Amino acid sequence: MAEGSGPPERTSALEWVFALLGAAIIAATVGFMVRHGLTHPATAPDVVVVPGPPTRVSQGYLVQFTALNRGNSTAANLTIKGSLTDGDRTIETSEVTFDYLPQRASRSGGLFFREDPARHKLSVTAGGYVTP
Amino acid sequence: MSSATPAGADRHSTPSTGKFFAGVGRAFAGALLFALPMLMTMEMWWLGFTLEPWRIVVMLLAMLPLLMGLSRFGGFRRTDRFRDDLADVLVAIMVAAVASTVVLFLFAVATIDMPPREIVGKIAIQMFPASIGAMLARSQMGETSESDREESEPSYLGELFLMGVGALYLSLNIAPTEEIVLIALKMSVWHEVSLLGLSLVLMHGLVYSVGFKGGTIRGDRSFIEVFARFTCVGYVVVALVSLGVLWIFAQTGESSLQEVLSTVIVMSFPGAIGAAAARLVL
Repeated sequence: MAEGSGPPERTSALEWVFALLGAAIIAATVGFMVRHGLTHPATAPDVVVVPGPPTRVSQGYLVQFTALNRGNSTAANLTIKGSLTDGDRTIETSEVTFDYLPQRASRSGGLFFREDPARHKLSVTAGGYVTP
Repeated sequence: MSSATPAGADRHSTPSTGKFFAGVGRAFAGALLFALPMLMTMEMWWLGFTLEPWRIVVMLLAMLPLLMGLSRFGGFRRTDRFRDDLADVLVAIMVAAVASTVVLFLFAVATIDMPPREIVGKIAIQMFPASIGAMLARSQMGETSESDREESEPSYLGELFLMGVGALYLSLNIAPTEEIVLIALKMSVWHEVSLLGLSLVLMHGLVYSVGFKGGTIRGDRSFIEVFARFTCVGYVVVALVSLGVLWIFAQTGESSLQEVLSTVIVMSFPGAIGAAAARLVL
């Protein structure tokens, strides 16, 4: 269809090497996605939060944590809530929001406290999310 | 093709290695030029893992015939055989994949400790605009001169195809953003009707003035004919492209028909300008 001066060009062997690479890339990507779709049916986000040891910072204490999504769908606006309790009494709470926690992925963050978490009962859990 | 003589087959040449690499270099430049705005848009990164795998598969498969069409109307070189077009398309995909991967890893948007699904998803999404850019590179930066392009006269369907690509050119940047939905929500029915009207007027004006410069839209056609055959049908093509892109990017989701319709109208505004200017842009 594209006309002009001179005859249309043929494909050189070198170009076919590049083309085969391109074919491999597109086939592998499609194959990966199809396989992933078949073997990982979408399940609700399943968030596991693992807090690290509290560390002293300039104004209080920091608890770093890793949140892992074991489910097969992404959690958007995921909140992570930390609280320090003594029996029934809540001493302090702290909260943070992740824009996204993709399926099977982990993200890390931190919660600041004024009180020393080591002297109370610390719990760090996932609050809630919305579907993207 | 039509001018091919019986001896025409002997006149076919294969490009030299140097010329081929120059073409690949242009393709890289085209991929970056076209895809960088999307490579630097966080909604596009998020789509890499929020989209269902089958949407990404549909997008990649829809990309192939689109690129085949572009190879016919632009592409790396003049081609007249299916397999030469296919080779061009696959080289463009290779270039797009490499360019997207390198840039996403340099931006630390993709890192090796992410799950494979997230990395592959992020790259796959970017391959769509990047390979279109790679394919367009020849016609934008190549040796093909303006007069050369004006000689070629695509058929009516070819003209509509180019309009669709022109619409895609502008709407791909906008479709994944939240603003498109926000604008649609802010607008009343009268805003939407006015925007649709303005889209048609601008599109017609551009089609008419650009059309005079070359292509099948000649000056000897009547106003009504150009309006009916190019502006109106063109707008339908633009609206379908907008709908398709919105659907692939899951922007239509759980929205009502009215919401989808108004989002399509908003997106068709830049799309209509892109479509009408396709002959200038592409």
